[in-house]
Amino acid sequence: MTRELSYVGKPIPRADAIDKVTGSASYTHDLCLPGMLHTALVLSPHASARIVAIDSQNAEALPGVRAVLTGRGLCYQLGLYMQDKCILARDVVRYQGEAVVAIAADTLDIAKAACQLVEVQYDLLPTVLDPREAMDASAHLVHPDLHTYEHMEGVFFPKAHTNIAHHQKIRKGSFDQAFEGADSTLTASFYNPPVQHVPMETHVSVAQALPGKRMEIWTSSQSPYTVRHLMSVCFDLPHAHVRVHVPYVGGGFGGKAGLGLEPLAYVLSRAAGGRPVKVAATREQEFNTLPSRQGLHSTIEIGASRDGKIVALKSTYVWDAGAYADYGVNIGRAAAYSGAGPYSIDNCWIDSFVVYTNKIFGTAYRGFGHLEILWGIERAMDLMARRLGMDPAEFRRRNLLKDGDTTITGEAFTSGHGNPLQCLESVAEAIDWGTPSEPSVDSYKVRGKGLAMLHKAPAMPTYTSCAVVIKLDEDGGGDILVSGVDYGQGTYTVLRQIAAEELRIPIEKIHITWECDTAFSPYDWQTVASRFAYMGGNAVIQAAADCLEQIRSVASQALNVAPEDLDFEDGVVFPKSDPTRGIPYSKLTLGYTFANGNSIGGPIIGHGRFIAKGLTHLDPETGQGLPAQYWTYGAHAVEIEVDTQTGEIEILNIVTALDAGKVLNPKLCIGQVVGGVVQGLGSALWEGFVFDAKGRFLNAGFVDYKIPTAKDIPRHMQQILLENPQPGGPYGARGVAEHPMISVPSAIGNALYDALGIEFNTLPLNYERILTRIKEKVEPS
Amino acid sequence: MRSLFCFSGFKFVRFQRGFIVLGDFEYKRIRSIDEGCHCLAEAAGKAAVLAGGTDLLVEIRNHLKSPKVLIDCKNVDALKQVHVDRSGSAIGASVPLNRLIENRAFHTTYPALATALLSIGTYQLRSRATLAGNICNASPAADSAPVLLVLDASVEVVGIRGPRSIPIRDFFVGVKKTVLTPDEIVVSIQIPQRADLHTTFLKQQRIRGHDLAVVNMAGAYSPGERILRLAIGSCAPTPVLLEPIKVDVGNVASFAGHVAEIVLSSVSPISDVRASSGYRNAILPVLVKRILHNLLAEGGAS
Repeated sequence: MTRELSYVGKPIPRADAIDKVTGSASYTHDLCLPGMLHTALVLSPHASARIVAIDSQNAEALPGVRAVLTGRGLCYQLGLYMQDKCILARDVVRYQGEAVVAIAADTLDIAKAACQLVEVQYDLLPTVLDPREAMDASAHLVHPDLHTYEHMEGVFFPKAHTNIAHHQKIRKGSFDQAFEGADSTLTASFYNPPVQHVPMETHVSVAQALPGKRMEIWTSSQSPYTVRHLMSVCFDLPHAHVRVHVPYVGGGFGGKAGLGLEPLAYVLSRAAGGRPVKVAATREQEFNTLPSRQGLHSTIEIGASRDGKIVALKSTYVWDAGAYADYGVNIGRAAAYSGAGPYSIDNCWIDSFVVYTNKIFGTAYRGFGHLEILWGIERAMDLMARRLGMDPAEFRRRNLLKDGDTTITGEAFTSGHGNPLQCLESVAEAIDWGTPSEPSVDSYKVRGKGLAMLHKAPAMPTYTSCAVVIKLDEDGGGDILVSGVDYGQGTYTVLRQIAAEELRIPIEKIHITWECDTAFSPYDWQTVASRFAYMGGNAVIQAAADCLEQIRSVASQALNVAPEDLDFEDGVVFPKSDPTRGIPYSKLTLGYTFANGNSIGGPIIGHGRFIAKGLTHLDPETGQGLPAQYWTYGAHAVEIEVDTQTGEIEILNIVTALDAGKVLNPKLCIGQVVGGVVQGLGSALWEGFVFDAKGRFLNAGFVDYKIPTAKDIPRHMQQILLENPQPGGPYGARGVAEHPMISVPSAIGNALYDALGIEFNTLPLNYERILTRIKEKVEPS
Repeated sequence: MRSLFCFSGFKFVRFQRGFIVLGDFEYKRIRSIDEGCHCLAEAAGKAAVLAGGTDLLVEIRNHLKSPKVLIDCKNVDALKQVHVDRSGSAIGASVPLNRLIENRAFHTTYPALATALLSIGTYQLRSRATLAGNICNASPAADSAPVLLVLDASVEVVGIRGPRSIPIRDFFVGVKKTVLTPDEIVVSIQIPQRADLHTTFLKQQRIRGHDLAVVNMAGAYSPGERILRLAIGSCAPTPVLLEPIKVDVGNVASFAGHVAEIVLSSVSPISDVRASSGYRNAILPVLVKRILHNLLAEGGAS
């Protein structure tokens, strides 16, 4: 008989709620160290230019200025996957908004005033803004020295003397032959603009250069150990000399996954004689200087048989990496191995190009390329279905991955992967698919329904790992030490649930402190890719088992009972034969003391760890291999109403189904889904950077970059969480954090066709774009 | 300011809420209107009046304005007053929008104005922002302006030469420009009360949440006189008030077309990052139609 769960799967409230609601949670922005300096930046007004001269004498002379740095003195190339970025622009600027000079001063005011005194002379260079044009042999090279850059060998393939930072290929079967033999074919192109993460807390880092080649960093980051590693490599310091603290983080969404402002804060501190230096992005800099989500141009070609089976699929993805592609290359890679959607396709050909342009650079953003590629794929599925005269849900039904199929990288699909078909059927039923929408009460409004599938696996190195330590306390409770960051997604609450379940103690006795510190917290790769609950959860299970084994060993001696004859419940260890003879953990956690004073054991500290299992590099020519620890599948269905006079869309209902494997905390999981869907609405309807012809960013701020607000949340949202267990997942769980956002635009695009009979292939689907297309249809020019 | 000590490793780390110094200016908190006029006159154009500050402080932060003196008028009793009654109303210059929106008499007397005010910024901003500030900022997109125009409001100001009353239709002279002289301070907005008027305000924005108007429009209809007054925002350097239009209730559809033509010939929308001129031109007739539908349906029923 399986034991009934006390905490896992229960709607436990967030552990951080009280700190956040009362305002007692402290963030890096709040940090103020004695003697701390503040930083202001001089930004490039040009998208592409040579820095001829920088005159900073007057700035240096300003009282209160402690350090003035330019790129020239900073000969460092940084990056996790692709070392293509300097701390400050060196010799050339590659996007408008790039930091050229940094000034640390006693106050932010002085630093800002000093920036006004800096004179930078530029010589304009050619500008390349469209990544498709950037692929031309004659295009201006954003990185002429690309061939010299260090990068992760065997995983990424930059093309020397081009703007292509990475080219990922997937080759399965024979596309050309199958496409030619198909009964029906389709070619369609799609576009996603670059967008911003918009975390509540902008990027901010405080660093202090310490004597003895040591440094201490406080930063708003998703990845304390990656920051430590990259800083130690970049500045050639022993890892232990770099100490990284991450207090509460006000949202990340992927934007704080890699290195951010930490190197700049450190070099400023070094230049200022070791005074701590804070570098905090303004909201405008968060848009215009710090990384965004990449834009994407995609072309999808599908060949299908008359009976609705896809026989061939080709995708060409051209990613607009912007000026730097450190994280972008990995998005290009993930997008390729996921690049055909959750479908069984025997003949598949994918090219994913990550291309430099003179724009703000891209990085990870919730969904890691999947919202973008599935915008094209899931729109193309609807187009193909209609070409075949088939219902879009039925067309998908006939092609979804099922037991016995192989993915496009040759991975066997099993029932342990979850059930994409069940996701589809769940949302179709909930939206009453097949029944046309009721007409609107207003004659000028039309309604429509649409649906879309989604899938994603964690995009991570094959050796991704994490560790957990549980220290048991005098009161029989425990502290969990981790360095994965809970920046709002709720993982710490879930880890507490798992620890309480495994240790069999009340959850109130399990604590996690919202401050990671690489001096004390054990290793975790990065908090990204929807893998923290999965990997951290597994490590907690192991650490708890380690604690219980230690308790068992001491209790066995204390009770004079064989270890295997002991059991645990409610914070008490007891002989199975006589539960009344139990000893509370509190009498064992620091060691057990017999009546005569003799003591045994000692403080109990459990250790658990987890490393990705069985992943392989992908073959450079065919992309075949095992890239994914697990896949999460899902679907959205949406019903919308369009005002044909203004182009305004109202979401009447949006239904989301995700196969979570096991819902560890329904309250938090539903919160994730609602938040993700609303964030997806942002990408679908409103968000997108606007640049002028010279590459200047026109809507870098909240006045003209609109994200959904409380008033924009749909009135009806439904979440369906399926539980087809993931083998190897903690309690059968798989990640669901990024997924709710993916394919929200696709479902809405498909519903727009249903409502208006117009194909939309470009995001965002803002009111103006919709009205323009309606008018074109009514009055063709 | 709040601070706390948090033990972190081997040293005490102090967390402290940050603050931003806006700029180098003198801050004066005036006690009377006269004092304000004198300060303004003395500063000879280098001063700015601070009421809610929701536009001004952002402009100072972004270096769009750099006043030498900031004259805070929030402490002058005369500017804090709200009178709403049958003969007309006076809204003090430092009254926050939320005080108006939450004033039942104001809401029932000027429903269209209340709607317009409710569409300005967010709740938090409306706790500070003022009606006088909205018009003194003189944005072409000011949401209160079209309603004040169709209601024939006036701006009561005092300068060193004494008080004057400026009809709102004469108040705006360009983007962010008004007829106020550097020594003048707005005391109140006077709004005549005409029980016979039906009014409505519509705003096209990009999202449902807070946003600047892509186009905004207000209409006031007097069923007795069969006169329509219409004002449009965000489509010209200033909000635009049309000449009164005699309403043809016989054929509403063709009348709406006629009004839309007048509107389109009276405005000159530009393309910007918010919307193209084409979209604004497409929205204008839609708002005209909807305003007429609202007003004439109401008006017809009376």
